[in-house]
Amino acid sequence: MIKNQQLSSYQLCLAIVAFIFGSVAIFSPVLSAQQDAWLAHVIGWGGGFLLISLYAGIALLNPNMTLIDVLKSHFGEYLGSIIGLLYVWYGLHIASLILHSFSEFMVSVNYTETPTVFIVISVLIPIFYGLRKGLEVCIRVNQMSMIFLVATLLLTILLSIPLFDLGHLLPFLEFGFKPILKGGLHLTAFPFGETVLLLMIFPCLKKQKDLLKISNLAVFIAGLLLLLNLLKDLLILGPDIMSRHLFPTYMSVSMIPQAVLEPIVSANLLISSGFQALLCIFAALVGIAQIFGLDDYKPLVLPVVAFVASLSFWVHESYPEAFTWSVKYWTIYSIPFQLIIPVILFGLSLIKKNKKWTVNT
Amino acid sequence: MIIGLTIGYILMMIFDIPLIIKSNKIKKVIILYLTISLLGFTLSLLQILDKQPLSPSNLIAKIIDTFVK
Repeated sequence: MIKNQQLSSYQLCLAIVAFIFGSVAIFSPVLSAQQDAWLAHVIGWGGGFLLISLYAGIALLNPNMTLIDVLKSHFGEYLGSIIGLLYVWYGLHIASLILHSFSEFMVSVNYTETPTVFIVISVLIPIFYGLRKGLEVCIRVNQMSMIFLVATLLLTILLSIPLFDLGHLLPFLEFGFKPILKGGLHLTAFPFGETVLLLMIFPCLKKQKDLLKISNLAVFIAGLLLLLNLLKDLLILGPDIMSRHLFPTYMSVSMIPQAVLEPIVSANLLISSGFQALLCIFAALVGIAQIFGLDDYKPLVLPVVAFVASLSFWVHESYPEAFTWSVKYWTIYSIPFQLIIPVILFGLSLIKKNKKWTVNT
Repeated sequence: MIIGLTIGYILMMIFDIPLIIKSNKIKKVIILYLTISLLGFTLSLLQILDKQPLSPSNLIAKIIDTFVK
């Protein structure tokens, strides 16, 4: 089911960029670092390169194998399946958090009278349709929408240049290195570390030897776009307002004179968050199908999407609660999924490869 | 709301019948389909009745607070 899907290097690169850009477009976890948030972002960005290289390394050492295949191959059928189910849960959890954040944003700034359930269902309908049609279809749609996303983001940045106040970057290191390192660590976990789920689609890349290069290029592009977005917010709003406002990107764009660009922020968030949620649900679906030995994931799309809708309402009561929880617990919760298990897999893959090489020689 | 939810899930299953019948391992697909649907339905029903269990985020927070902090 996954081997029939073929992606070009360009398509995979854009998919990773959209995945990373996701919900970080509206809220960045480095805001607590105040005026040094840009430095925290650079540190987190560096961590992102390390993590994506780790995941690409696992994929290259286990060619044409998804994450579930690798888990079963190295940990055995049963333990591999159990850990696989944990990753399925992880994917569904991320998707529900994205939907929750997005729907709260929409209700807060645009559709104040609209029930949240309607917004969640409206987003899930195209996601369901895309999943039923297949990954290639979704990736091609993303190819087109990413052009819009990048162009509009650069447009908002260019138009906001007259509002920049470089004094908002000072004083440098006012609160020391601790908030910067903390923010950087948060950014590494969210969103760069979430790319571990992309191990489910890495086997679809036609030219596997380009995987390391493409994945790092994608992290570079996504990180750069996010940094430009962050700097825009920081230089317009200042550290105090930026760190205290729930949706600083929306607020900074609303301050651009003689232009109504707020719908662009909403559209960008819809594109990137929707695609990130789609990929997370896709990873979970393929995981379920592989763990239980099904030939195709498509019959399970609708119940899983319905489950994610319920989960998005269950997971948090409100956006501030979700925000506080993410800052406090997300990084620690993600460490086994993003670091411990992948490092073990990488080590075991290396040992296996060396053993094969020794046997052959 | 409960009636709407039930009708929604029934329609969902009717919509998916042709796809399920075409699948190779029908028994497995049906079991998984019904399990996931039941999970989603139960969760939605409990939320409508305002009797939802402890959210996974709160559970994760409690586990982390117990073992890490």
